[in-house]
Amino acid sequence: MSRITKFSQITSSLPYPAQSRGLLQSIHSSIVTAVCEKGKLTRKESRNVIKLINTVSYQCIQQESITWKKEDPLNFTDLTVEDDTLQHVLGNMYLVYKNINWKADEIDIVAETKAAEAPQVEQTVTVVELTEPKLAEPVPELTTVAPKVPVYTNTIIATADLTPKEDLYIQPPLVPRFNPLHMVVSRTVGDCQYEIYESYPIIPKKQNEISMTTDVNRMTSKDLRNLFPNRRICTRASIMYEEQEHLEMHPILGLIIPVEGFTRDQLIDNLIKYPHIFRLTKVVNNELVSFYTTVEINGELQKITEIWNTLPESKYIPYNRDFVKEYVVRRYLLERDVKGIHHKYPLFGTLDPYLTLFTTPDEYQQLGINDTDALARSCVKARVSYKQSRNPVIRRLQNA
Amino acid sequence: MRNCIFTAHCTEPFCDRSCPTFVETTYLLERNGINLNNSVFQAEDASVLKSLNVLAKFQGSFGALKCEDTLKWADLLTYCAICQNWKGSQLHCTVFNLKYAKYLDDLKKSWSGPAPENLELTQIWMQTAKILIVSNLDYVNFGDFESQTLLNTIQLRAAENLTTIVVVPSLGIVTKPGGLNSFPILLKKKIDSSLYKEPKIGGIQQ
Repeated sequence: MSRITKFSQITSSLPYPAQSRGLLQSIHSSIVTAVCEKGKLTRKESRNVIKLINTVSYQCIQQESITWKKEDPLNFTDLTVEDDTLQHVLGNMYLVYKNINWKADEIDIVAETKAAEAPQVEQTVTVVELTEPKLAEPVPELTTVAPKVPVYTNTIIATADLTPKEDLYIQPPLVPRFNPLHMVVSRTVGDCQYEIYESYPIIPKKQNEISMTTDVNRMTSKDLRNLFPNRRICTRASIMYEEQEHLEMHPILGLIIPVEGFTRDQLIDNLIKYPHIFRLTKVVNNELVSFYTTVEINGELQKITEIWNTLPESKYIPYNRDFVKEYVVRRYLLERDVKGIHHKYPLFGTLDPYLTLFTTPDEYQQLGINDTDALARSCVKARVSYKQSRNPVIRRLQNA
Repeated sequence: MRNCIFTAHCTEPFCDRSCPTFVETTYLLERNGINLNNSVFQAEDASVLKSLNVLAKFQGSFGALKCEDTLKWADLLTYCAICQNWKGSQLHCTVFNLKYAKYLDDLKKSWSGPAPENLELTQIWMQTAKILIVSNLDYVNFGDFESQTLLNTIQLRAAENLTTIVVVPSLGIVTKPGGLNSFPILLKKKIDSSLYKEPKIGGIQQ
């Protein structure tokens, strides 16, 4: 949005996407109402209000869990997404602070010092550490003085260097780079010349920069450590981080999906090894089909919609797309890894453990994994294998 | 281009060189004259990051980037813009690198003979492209006509909230001192007031 907009008219001027218009307009209206009722904001608070509106839009569009709460509409503690990322994802929907006209709605923007000098006002400073932000837990308050009412809450959050979620994607980086002078594969099949070049950077700094040409042996311990995010990133579907009746919530991993025949420890181990499920397929009758719509039971493929009610776990697991998807994949992986079952309809391509490093080395150690170099090495190998086993050019050449 | 820029990362089921990713990216790269020999494919992290910052800063508006190697930066900005905008472009020229000196030559040739083949298409793309990078200004002798043409393009695109980024040499655009030429001075002012400034730290714009 590049035109000056009245603050109260934000909801009517933002170009909402059709599928989330209702939800976003409702949340944004609540924020606008809360600000108008308050009538006076510090400059920092007013900036946070705009960032809050942008963050809610971002979370909705990215299908992440929305951290905004109706009970506390002006809570600024979870504004951890960088402005550049917000702007990039939201495009025209991104609200620019300088384009907002506050005066038209009689909202006073006062300097921070005035707010601090105001009588009966006490500041509570909440500090979130850069390296280990507690995303799933309430932010710890470091103040020793009990706050009086009313309270202006100034929140300081170090956000500049937080790892963005995109760094963990299996999809390619936004701007792919390669060395056209160094061909890794070059062969002619039929009339077609197939070539694959060495991708750049040769030493990846982010997980999404790992390609099928990455050589883990060129990477030092320091290079491997760069691959870890500097905060915990919720890689599962957002609903897996919300409380559900009958399901246990792990403080780091989210909901534990029960699969009969496997212990809690095995389920947790599976979540650590495979924190992210993305576009899995299997081959049925020489065709690639979605992995999630069917489940293999005793060598027979069953439609999940038909047999769901007969599964003992269905009493506890909600029947919706994300939960069914988790159940089908985790059941398959547990059967493959723990029981050593060779499925008749296996996954298409490889899916090795630790494909995604979703949290910091420290938190991995809390989860019982101490050798973080080996962990990062597994991640690189798993990604190279994942991409090589699915790459259409490699498969074309292998089958030629 | 015969090769897809995503090949080393590709996990599509089949490659028959007709998937939207390949077709759309290749079309835009060819349209902008970026071939395999171009240095953009080996650009450093910092350069790519700077290009993305420039594109983000001037999204939907006019901006200018001052640099020594205008050819390199224009190509890199174009490549980054293509990477951001190829998806769903449906073979529309969403990103266009206008070589301004060549465009002026073609335009002037058309006054005294048949219009060069691509002139009409160039004029369409420079008006409609979502992102227009204007380069090749280094040796343009900016008189009233040259300045007015560029100012007019900038204004028309600004009205449509389209991104226009001019890549200018470090020495800036030379304007003739004095005289009655007011448009070169206007253009210089316009560019100077929209110059990209390096962020202080961590992507925070000045």
